[in-house]
Order: sequence, then structure tokens, then C-alpha cells
Amino acid sequence: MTDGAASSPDSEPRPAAGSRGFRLRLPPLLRYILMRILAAVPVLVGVTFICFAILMAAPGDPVRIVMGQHYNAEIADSLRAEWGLDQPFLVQYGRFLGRVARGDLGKSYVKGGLDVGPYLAVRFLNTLLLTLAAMLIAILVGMVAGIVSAARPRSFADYALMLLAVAGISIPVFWLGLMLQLVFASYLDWLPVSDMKSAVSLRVLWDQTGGNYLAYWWQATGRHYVLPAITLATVPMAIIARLTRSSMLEVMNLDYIRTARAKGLSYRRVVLVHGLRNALIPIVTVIGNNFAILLTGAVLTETVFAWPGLGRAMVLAINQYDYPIVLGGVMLMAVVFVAVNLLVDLTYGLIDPRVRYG
Amino acid sequence: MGETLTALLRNRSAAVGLVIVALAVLIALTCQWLAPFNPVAQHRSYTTAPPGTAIAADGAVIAGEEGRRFVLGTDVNGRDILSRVLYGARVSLLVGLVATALNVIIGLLIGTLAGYFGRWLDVVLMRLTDTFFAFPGMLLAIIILATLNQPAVREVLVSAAGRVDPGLWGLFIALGLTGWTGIARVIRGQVLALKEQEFIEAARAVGCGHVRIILVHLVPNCLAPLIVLGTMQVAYNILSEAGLSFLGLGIQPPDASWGGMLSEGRPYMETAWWWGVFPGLALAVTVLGFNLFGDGLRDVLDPRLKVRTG
Amino acid sequence: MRFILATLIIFAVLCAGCVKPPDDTGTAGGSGGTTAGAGGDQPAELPAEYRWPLHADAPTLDPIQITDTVSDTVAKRIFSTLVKFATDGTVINDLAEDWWISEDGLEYHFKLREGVTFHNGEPLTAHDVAYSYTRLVDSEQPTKRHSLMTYVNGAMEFYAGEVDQVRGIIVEDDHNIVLTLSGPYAPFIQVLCMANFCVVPESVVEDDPEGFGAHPIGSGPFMFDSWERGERITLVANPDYFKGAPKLERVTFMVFEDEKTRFENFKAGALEHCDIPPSQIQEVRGDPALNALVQGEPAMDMYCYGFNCEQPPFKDNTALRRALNYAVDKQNIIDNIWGGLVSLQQTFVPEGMFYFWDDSPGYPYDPEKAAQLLEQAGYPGGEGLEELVLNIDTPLTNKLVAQAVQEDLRQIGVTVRIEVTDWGSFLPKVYAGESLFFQNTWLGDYPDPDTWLYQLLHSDNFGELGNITRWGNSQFDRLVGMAQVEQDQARRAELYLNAEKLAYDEAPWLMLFWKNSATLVQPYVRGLEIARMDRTPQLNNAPLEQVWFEEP
Repeated sequence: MTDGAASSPDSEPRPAAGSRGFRLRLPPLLRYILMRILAAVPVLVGVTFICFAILMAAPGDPVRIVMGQHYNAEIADSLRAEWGLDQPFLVQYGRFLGRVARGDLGKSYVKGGLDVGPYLAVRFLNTLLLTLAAMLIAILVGMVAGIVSAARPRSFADYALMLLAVAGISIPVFWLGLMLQLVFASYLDWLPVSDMKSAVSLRVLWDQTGGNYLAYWWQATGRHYVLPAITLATVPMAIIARLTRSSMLEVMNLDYIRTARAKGLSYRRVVLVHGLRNALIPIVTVIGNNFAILLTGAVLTETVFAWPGLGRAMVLAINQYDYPIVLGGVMLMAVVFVAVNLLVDLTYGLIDPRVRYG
Repeated sequence: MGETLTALLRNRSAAVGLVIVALAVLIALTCQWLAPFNPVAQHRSYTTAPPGTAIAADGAVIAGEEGRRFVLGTDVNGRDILSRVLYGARVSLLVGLVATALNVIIGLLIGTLAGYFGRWLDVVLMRLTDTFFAFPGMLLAIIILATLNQPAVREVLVSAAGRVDPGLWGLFIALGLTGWTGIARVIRGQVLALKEQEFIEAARAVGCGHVRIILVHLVPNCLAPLIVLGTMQVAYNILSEAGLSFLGLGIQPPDASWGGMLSEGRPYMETAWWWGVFPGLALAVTVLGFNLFGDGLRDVLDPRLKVRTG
Repeated sequence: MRFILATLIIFAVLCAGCVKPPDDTGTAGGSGGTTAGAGGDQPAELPAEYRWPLHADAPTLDPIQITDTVSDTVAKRIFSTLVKFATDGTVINDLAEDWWISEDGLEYHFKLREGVTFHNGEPLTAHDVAYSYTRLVDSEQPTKRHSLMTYVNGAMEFYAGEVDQVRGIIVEDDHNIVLTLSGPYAPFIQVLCMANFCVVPESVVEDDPEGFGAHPIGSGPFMFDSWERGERITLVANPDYFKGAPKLERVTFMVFEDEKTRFENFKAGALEHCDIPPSQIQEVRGDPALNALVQGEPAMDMYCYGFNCEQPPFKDNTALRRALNYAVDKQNIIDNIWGGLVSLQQTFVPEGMFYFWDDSPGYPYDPEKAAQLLEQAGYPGGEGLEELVLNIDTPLTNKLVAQAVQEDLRQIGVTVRIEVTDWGSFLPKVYAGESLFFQNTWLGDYPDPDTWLYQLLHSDNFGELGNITRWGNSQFDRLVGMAQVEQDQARRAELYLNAEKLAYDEAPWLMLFWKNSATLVQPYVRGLEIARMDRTPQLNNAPLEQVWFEEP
């Protein structure tokens, strides 16, 4: 995939300590964080500006959606005035920025006065949970596959696993989801078809499982994660597997590994303890990047499984010209993306002692 | 060149990938002769027929169709799935290639300018890249496409596009304008590395202008990573087109498109699974082909790329 | 490894926090049902909670803002109106104990029941009714349907801010109210049954007009309990309901946007009723247990394609429009795409009104006649006719229908290009008269031919008022206008029938079908009556207070 290890600390030009004329004597780590946040602000502004420009430039009319079959010109005009849609573009954008700065993301047009902030927060949480589940699977399966492959290069297992990995990044995610749904949910009836929570009343489930919290949780929501998480995990799993393999192979050829082998340490110990720890560095970066990507873009999986997440909310809002939700959502996603990347870079620093932030 | 080719063919995955890609291109070019039926012809008495159903003597919509089989079955309007899958290849490849071409052009431009001139231009261009990169997944493409699909905008497209389907134009624009960030970054890195080398210094000493240096010395040296990235990008764009059509934003009915067929066939999965399964399979195999080929190319042309682009 | 551990912990914490065990406080007696839909296990205890599917979340529950069927169906359970629809479409009492109309049709007198209270205990009086109606035309309030009050004296002047109150609303005393009209308008009593005329408590709304929609208080059979946006709306029974406490304990409206999901949940026993997705109709018909659960009849939900009669080639070219009507095999669409869930449209006014043109010839599939007419229209074999652009909106079945029509027209030589647009851009284009050939749907607001013939075909109503095909005929206008003020039912029927025949001859629409309200209902649900004018699964007018559960 083309969105590779994008923002490792090396890609950012870092001024030498004190060259910017800072009076504050902040520890270098804090300064790094601060600079990254500052650098992120223009990105956020840029993202919302582009989004705003596209939405506003187009002639679509949210007022029509709301009014539907009973459209009335007078009411439409008053709604437009209320939402500020009759103002010039820059004025609208300025007002939007002002509101966001105060923490107010506005109210939805289509969903009668719903506050955008809390609504998006809930949807984001749903996506976050799914993404965590998916990443868990992806990391576990991907790294194991990568390690096994690297431990026996050019063996049958290696070729088979790597072929599966390429297949993993090639299979259309939504098709895989549909297939899984068809087989496991419709035909075999082992797992639910869609949604995040069971529609059966919670009280009934509680009674049914006799107060056993684990079983209750599984019935109420746990089983709903399985198929979507596996679907979502496929691509990162494949990427992680490939990267783990190549990273480990590279590391294992280094001198100090050979030294360890020569000293007589077992193959397994060498591979797992010494090899892995050092191979981890680029892997962590990629994990983090993929996490950010999944978090902000699980649109297709959410559509197939009717998951009440952020991606689906956004697509729906875009189709309905519900601008506040679209803008708020884009803003939220950009913030999350930048934040996760920052966290990844900081973790990178923790793992690799060679990296300095000064 | 010759040894590259031999190395390529010796690499098993690359060879398989090449075969698949060649097959896909072939199908895309010749589908009108390969397809047993007209992809939009509706056979009203054979709706949602399972794979292998044959047309009885009295059921032909067009003369000469008696006895022919619907190898992969039909959809609810009675259209042959196999024919639609074959025609779908045309759409997917067209979008994949054109969008990638746009991506490469934009990415090359931005990456080269940023890497070569450096300083504030670099900062500005990289900020721009970051901004586009910060848009999650396909979201920007979705927003652009939703906007382009509005009737008023579409009319402009139709008058400008002429004979080409405005749906295709929308996809070219939406995907072309959003997929260039990875390429830009990599090219910039290459240019930065190349810039310091002696032959560039020499060229400058001789008095070559910036344009000449860029076009004659820098770009050709970027070809290797560009080809690899380009191939992977085609795979990505094909998948994206399918995703967008799946969401209802891309190719419009009744034209055949793999993503569109998946979206139409989705509610009928239990009663007519062949409607959704086969287009998805075709999609998976085609994308697999491009990815394998790209992998092979990377192994051969520039093994150093492996770690960086994951 | 620490990373993985950390992720696991975070995940576990978040998950656990999201699904708490149900607390034991709350309604005693009766928990949710566990029955599988068709002939599943018998539960030990029957559910007293009705789980009602919605295909979208309600935008608002404030009566004056309601323009969609989802808000409508929830609001009708929370509030009451003066009069309401019985399931056969006749108007019956709700809050009004008695009502009569003056001879000249200009005065509507209502005597309210005594002893009706709102959910907060406050008594409901004629003042609240007056307040609710005035609110509908109060430009200071977020009203969206002030045009419904057009005929009431002084309503439009009040809306424009010219007068201080609506002189057509007269409160005689606490239990008597009179509405006076500026001219006789036969359908008015039915208009009053609409959700926009729900009665709200003046004191509560005055306190918080904007927020009322999120915490509604009414006088209906169920009281508002909670609203999880995008997920569900919960109502509990009103024990003091003036028609007697409902037998159900709670009603939960659950949002399932995907029709397949609704169907799956119904089969699993998690919903009490659901609509039948066309893609699943084979499964339903093929399973005798499921098939037995289908209820419902032809509804007042129209689906057809309209011709823009102000633009060439459709302008003044009746032969062309009729040709296209004969060219389409409508039965194929009904059978193959809709699986028999819809019925053929042959008239402009559906069944279930006080008259029906039952011997209409309709436009049966006749490609030869179509070709003849096409030639008559000046386009033999389709030659000379430019490509027609058909505008439809996004739902999948609409696309399938469009493709079938496209193919049929292609057979006689007419080329159609399908343009799929989402609802938001579809409407402005069509209203402005910029679309040539487009999807035309209409759900009757009330069961009177007026809503069909006047709103959709009268030349006063071009564009957004309802007549999107912009077809006009002065004779037709005259007939419909006369029928509006005519008090005698038989005479009205005659006028309307003639008007319909006229419209039929000129074929402003490509007639397709009426949607049925075919609904799957669990076997233990009793007393659920599906009204003619209801769409499924909203079922706005089904009297929920009469529903109870009992094993078959």
C-alpha cells in the first residue's frame, strides 16, 4: 500500500535546540510534542478548509432533504438563514472555525437539532472498539505469521504464508465481509449477521445466561465483533506479516545475531528474544499507522455489517448534505489521525534508544 | 533491461502476477467478443437463474441464443453474470490505469519540486501532502464524488466529457486527486538523496538549468520506485473504484462494474449468491495479480524499498 | 508484548463499560420475549414490550416540525388529536367527544372530552388545542407545516405577522372549540387527523419551545421515556389514558436502517413486526410458517414515473406519453423485482377512498400498440427521439425497476439514460422543472381523493406544491375545484371520476404500481390492525393501545 511509514521523526525537519529563539527551557521531549501539535494545526485547518470548500461549492441543498415532500419556499428560506447558508463562503468558514475553537461542533441539519459533538463521540467510540478488536487480531496473527516465515525462509510455510499475505491486501474488504456473513451468519447461523449489539432485550439475555457476566457480554455484544473484526483485520494483518518477516530477516543477518548463534544460544531464543526486539521498531510504526487508518476509515466494513460507527455516519451525512456532521466528523478524524501518529512516534522513541528529540 | 526481465520472470510471484495482469488487460480489450451475452440484455423468464442454466428453445430474447448457458447465472433482471463480469474488467482497469496515471503525474510533480528546491517550497508542499494524507481512507474521494454526482455539476461534466460516461470522469477525478500522497513522499525522498550526488553537482557546474536537471537527470533515476509504486497504486485504485461503486457513488446502472454488482447482489446473497460472489472473486484475483507483479518488480528493481513502504 | 497487553486491557475496559447488566429497578412483571418468530419455542412469560422497527431515526418529536413518517408514527402514540383515522380510513373521535360541521361548511365545532390529562397530570383543555394550532402558524416557533392551516380564517395573516391571533380559532370554554374556514374545504376534517395537529401542553411548551421535541409530553396512550439517538426511542404505557390504559407495558422504537437487518431480527424474535424486503420475498413465500404471518393490503403509497409536460418531447404529445405507458411490462416488475409485494397502478386515486374507478383499462403491456402510438407521435421506431434522462434516487430496488423500464423502452427504440441522484439533489431538480423524466412517489396524507388529484395534478400546484409533472388541463382543474367545495359525497365521486378519466387519456405519468403494506407480524401479536394509508414498517395509524400479546 502506498501509505507507508509516513511520519517517522526523521521526515520532520527538526531545528537545533534553541535555534528558534525559545525563551522557555522545556525538556526536549515536551518541545517535540509541542512542535508536532503546532505543525498539526495547519493540517487541521487545511483539512476542514478543503472539505468545506468542496461541500459549499456544490449546489446540493440540505434544506431540501429536511423538508422532503412538503417543501415550502418561505420555511426553506428561514432555515437557510438560521443555518447561515446564505452567507458568503469565507464568512461561513470563519464562523465555523470560531465555533470549533469554542468546542461547539454545531447541530445536525437533518437530525432535528442533535448536537454533533456527543453524537460523533458515541459513533467514534463504536468504531474505536471495533478497531481495537481488529488490531488485536491483526497484530497477533500477523506477527506470528511473520515470525514463522522469517524463521524458515524459503520453506513451504514461508511461501504459503506470504502468498496469503498478498491475498490479504488484495481481497476487497467488503466482499470478504459479505462472504463471511453468508457462510457464518446466514448459512451456519453461528454468528449474528450485523449490528453491534443484540436486539434482544438486555434483561432477557441476563436471565438467559443466568447472571454469568461473560456469557451475557458475549451474547449481548461480544459475538457481534467476530466477523467485522476479522474482516477489518485482514489488510493490516497482511501488512504486519510481511513487514515482520522482512524486518526480522534483515535483523537476523546482522552481526550480533550471528555472534549469539555462534555462542551457542538456541535458534528459538535468538529469534524471539534478540531478533524480534530489534525488528519491532518499524513494525510498531506500521501498526500505529494502520491503527490510525483503520480508525478513520472503516467505512466499507461498517456498511456491510451495519456497524454504528463513525465511517457509516459520515457516508450517511455526506449523502444527506448534513454539513455539520460531515465537517465535525472530518475534523474529528483528522485530530485522531494526527494524535495517533504522534503517539506512535513517541513510542518509537521509547523503543529505539537511538532516537533523540533534541 | 534484458537482465531485469529475466530476473523478473524467474521470480515466481512476479511471473504469476504478470500473467494475471496480462489476462485482465486482454479481457478488458476483447470483452465484446468474449462475452456470450449482451451485458445489459434482460432475459425476463430467467431471472436469478443459478449458474449453468440453459436457455430453452422458446425463451430466447435475441435470436440465436437458444441452448446457450448462463455459465455464472443471472441477476434479478435476467442479465448474464459472466458477461457483466467480463465487461466489468474494462471499467476497473480503465479507472485503475487512468487514476494511477494522474496520481503519478501529480506525485512526481510535487515530490520533485519539494525535494529539489527545498526550503519553504518543501515545507509548503509537504504540509499540503500531509493535509491530503490526513483525510481518512476514501473519505475525500467520497466527498468529491458525492459532489460531482449532483445533477447540476454532472451536467457540466456531461457537456465537457462528451461521449465518455460522466460516472467514469467522476471516478478519474476523485481517485486521481486523492491518491498521490504516497508517491509524492517517496519521490521527494529519492530526489533528496540524489540531489547531493556528484553527477548533479557536475551538471550544475556545467551550467544546466533547473528544468534540465530535473527532467534529464533526476526523473529517470526515480523510475524504479515509480514503477513499483505505480503498479501497487493501480491495485489500490481498482479496489477503491469497487468500494465507491459499492457505496453507490461510482458507476451507475445499468453499466456493469464489479463494485456495483456486489452492491446490487448484496440483499440477494442468500437466494442468488452467484450475483455477489463472482464479481468479488474477479476483483480479488485482478488486484492480487497487480500486487504480485508489483512485489516482483520491487524485488528485482530495488530491494531497498521493501522496508520503507511496508 | 506489553503493547498487546495494553491494548487488551483498554479493550476489555471499554467493552465492559458499554454493556451493563440490566438493573433490577424499573417495571416489575414481564421481561422481553425470547420467542423465535415462526413457530419457535414458547416462552415461559409473554413479553409486554412491543419492539417496533424504524428504518431511520426520527428527526424530531415536536408536532409542528414533523414532515416524515418516522416522527409521525412515534408522535401519534405520544400525543392525541381532536379526531383521528380508523384503520379503514374513516374519521373517528379522539380528543373530541363530538363534532359537527355547519351547513355552509365554514364552521367546525368540537366538544372535547372531560377529564383528559397530559402525562404530567395537567388537564387538557380547549386552550391547549387552540395553542397547539396557533403554534402551527406561529412564525416565531420552528413550524414547518403552516400551509396546512391555509383555510382557517386569519391563519396566514397571523403567520405573516399582520395580526395578533388567529381569528378562525375560537375557544368557547374549557371544552368547546370552533374552527372557522374562509371557504368550504371538504377534506379539512381529515387534515385535522395529521400528526401536525397533535395537542401539546401550553405551559410546558412555553417554557422551552426548542427543546420540547426532545422531551415531548402529550396525552396519548404512551408516555415518552427515553431517546438514544440513532438507536431507540422508548415509551411506557400511560395508565391514565382516557380510553383506558393500554395492555402493553412499553413500546420501544428501534432504528434499523438496513431492511435485511430488520428481517433477520424479526426472524430471531427480536422484533414484533417488520416489512418484507423485496429481496427476501422468495424466502417468505417459500416458508409456510413465515408466509402465514403476512398481513396488510394495498396501501396509498404510489410509485410511478412522471413526464415533464412542460418540456419537449413530452409537451403536448399525448401519443408519446401513452406509447411509453404501453411499452413497459409492469407485471414483470411486480413479479420479478417486487415479488408480488406491490399491485398494478391503473388509476390516479387508489382503492380505499369513498369511490374507486375499478373498471379502468389501465395501460397493459402492449409493445405493438406502443410502436403504433410512437409512430403517431412522430417518432417511428424511436427515430428522431433524443435520449431521455431518467432521474431516480438511490435505493436499490428503484435502480432495478429503472433498469427494467429502460430495457422495455429500448425494445421499441427509445433510449433512456438512468441518472441516480440522492434525495437531496433530486428534489430541487425536479421541483424546478429541470428534470425530463423522473421518479414520482406520493404517500397520501389523508384518505381523500383530493390529495391525489388536487395536489398532484392541478395546475395551481406546479413544482414543490405537488404537481411535479407540470401537467395542466383547465377542464380537469374545474372539476377538481368543484369537487373540493361539494358537500354531497355522490356528486363528488362523479366529479372526481370524470377528472380521473380525463387525466388517464392524457397520460401525464408512466403508471407503475401501488406499494402494499405487507407486513410480517409475530403470531402472538393480537389486535394489530394495519390501516390502508400506512406505510410499513411505520404503521402510523395502527391503534397500539388495543394491542396485546397472547400465544396462538
